[in-house]
Amino acid sequence: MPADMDLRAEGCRYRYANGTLAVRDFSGDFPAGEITALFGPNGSGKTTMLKNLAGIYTPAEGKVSLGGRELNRLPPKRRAALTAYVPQQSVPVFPFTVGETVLMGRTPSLGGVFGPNRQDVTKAREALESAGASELWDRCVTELSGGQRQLVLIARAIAQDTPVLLLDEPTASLDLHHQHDIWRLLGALAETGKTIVASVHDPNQVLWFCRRVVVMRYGTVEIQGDSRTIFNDNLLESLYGRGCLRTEAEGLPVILPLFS
Amino acid sequence: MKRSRPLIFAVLGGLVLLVCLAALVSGAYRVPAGEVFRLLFFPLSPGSGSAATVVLDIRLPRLFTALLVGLGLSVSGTVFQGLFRNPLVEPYILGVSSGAAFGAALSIVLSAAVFPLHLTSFACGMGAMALALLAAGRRGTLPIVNLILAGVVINSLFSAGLSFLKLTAGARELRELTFWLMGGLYVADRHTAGLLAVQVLPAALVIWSQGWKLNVLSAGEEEALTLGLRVKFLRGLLMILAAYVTSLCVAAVGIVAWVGLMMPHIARMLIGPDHRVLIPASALLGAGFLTLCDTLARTVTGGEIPVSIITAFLGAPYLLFLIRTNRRVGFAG
Repeated sequence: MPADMDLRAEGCRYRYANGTLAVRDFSGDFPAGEITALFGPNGSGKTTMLKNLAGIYTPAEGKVSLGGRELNRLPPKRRAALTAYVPQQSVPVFPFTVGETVLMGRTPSLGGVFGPNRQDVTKAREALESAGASELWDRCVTELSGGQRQLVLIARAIAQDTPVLLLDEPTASLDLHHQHDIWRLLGALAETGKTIVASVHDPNQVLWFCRRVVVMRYGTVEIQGDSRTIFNDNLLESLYGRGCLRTEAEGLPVILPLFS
Repeated sequence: MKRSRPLIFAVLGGLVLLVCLAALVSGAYRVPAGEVFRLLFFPLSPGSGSAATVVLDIRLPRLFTALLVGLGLSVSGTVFQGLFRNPLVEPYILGVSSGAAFGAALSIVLSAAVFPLHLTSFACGMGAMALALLAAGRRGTLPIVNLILAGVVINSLFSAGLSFLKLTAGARELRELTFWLMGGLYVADRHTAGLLAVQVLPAALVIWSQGWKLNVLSAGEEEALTLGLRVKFLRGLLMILAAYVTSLCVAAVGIVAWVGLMMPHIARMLIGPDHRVLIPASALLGAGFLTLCDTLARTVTGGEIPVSIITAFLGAPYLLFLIRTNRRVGFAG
């Protein structure tokens, strides 16, 4: 995929209707073909910024652009052909099957009024297969575990077939095994040239799985760049107000909080 | 659990046809099935007489009215439940029923000349919905919680108005109003059926054509937005269409309880939540169920029972039975 599929946010500012200024001034780059982590303490504006990137919210100031094309001004359908969003959790009310749910990812590219056709079904099945969950196709989403549901939502985003994938804490509610599966899947997707942005809480997951990181605090960007060079003791201590130890295990960098 | 959808539709369609036949055959004046067929398919053949009057002029318009009102309420209920992501929602949620009831009271209690019954009731139903939408809107958004609250408020406002009109009403008007409020298809004639047909059917077709989008909307507002839907426009369109259909039905035959809440539920249990098949299934169920109830309403006793009494007596226990026996319930949580 060409380099002009880089996602970029410039001077974004977003205030909720209740007056909270969640994003003060955000400028960040999210290059294609990489996983970029959006990292920061609770309340730093990660989710709000992710929703601005996804087009759920429109920044009051500043712009979000993809390869130089401004996204905020696009109508929802064209926008949805470029960016896909995976919410932190989706609570299904109605017992749609996994197949029907993944098929919803085809909505932006539907031509007619009556919904998806056979080709869309094939694409949806492929998407679920690439998420490693093809056996779930006929199950009801209401009977899945949290991890399976997360896989289904990611499969829906894959079926949407967009150059940009935005995920809100994709591994927050998952056990170690599923966490690893999801990161491996995202890594494989990044290798196909997609731009992947995920908000992450755990500094270790950032170190292990995301080459790039954008660190947020107080609704603005504290620092951004290569995760392994950025994550030093000073940064983490200033973010969390407590010391951290960066060490290595089996050749992998590990961050341990210091309890005093 | 996989069930054959064509089979479900075939069975539903067959049942509706049977109920229709029963509706035409039964009543104070019995007309044998053979005679009904002859009248329907060869209406110009000789020797019809009073049977022709009963079947073609009285029962047939009433049958069509029951079918259309049942279909309309059930489809609107399906739409509202999907949009509000809540299976306990009924088509009267936005204040349509109390608005329409207030309109009917204006006509019955004050003056039918100034306030023609159907028109006033329809206008007040739609007016109530418009007020609810206005009250719920906030900076160009339309949060669901606000809508439900606004519906409650509008409902109680119009109910208060209705109570006031009842206070001022005489005994005869009060009786008439009470009967109207419980719903009844005894008012149905060719005019009613025709008016309903040309409005309810096209609206239901437009709603059905948005079935897939309704699926996506029922997954939640933010997700629908990121999947490329014009959420505000679609939700507004579907809500207004559904409230329009509900207002038409209420204005035509009064407030029929249960159909709009229960039939979508049962349809969802039968065929799943995909609105592309759920809407037609729920339409068939609603049409058949109300026709059955209306036929019972005018045949079980010598007189005429308000149809809502029958819909509740038949519907509530059946829904309870389904909830307790069906493993694939129509919703989670």
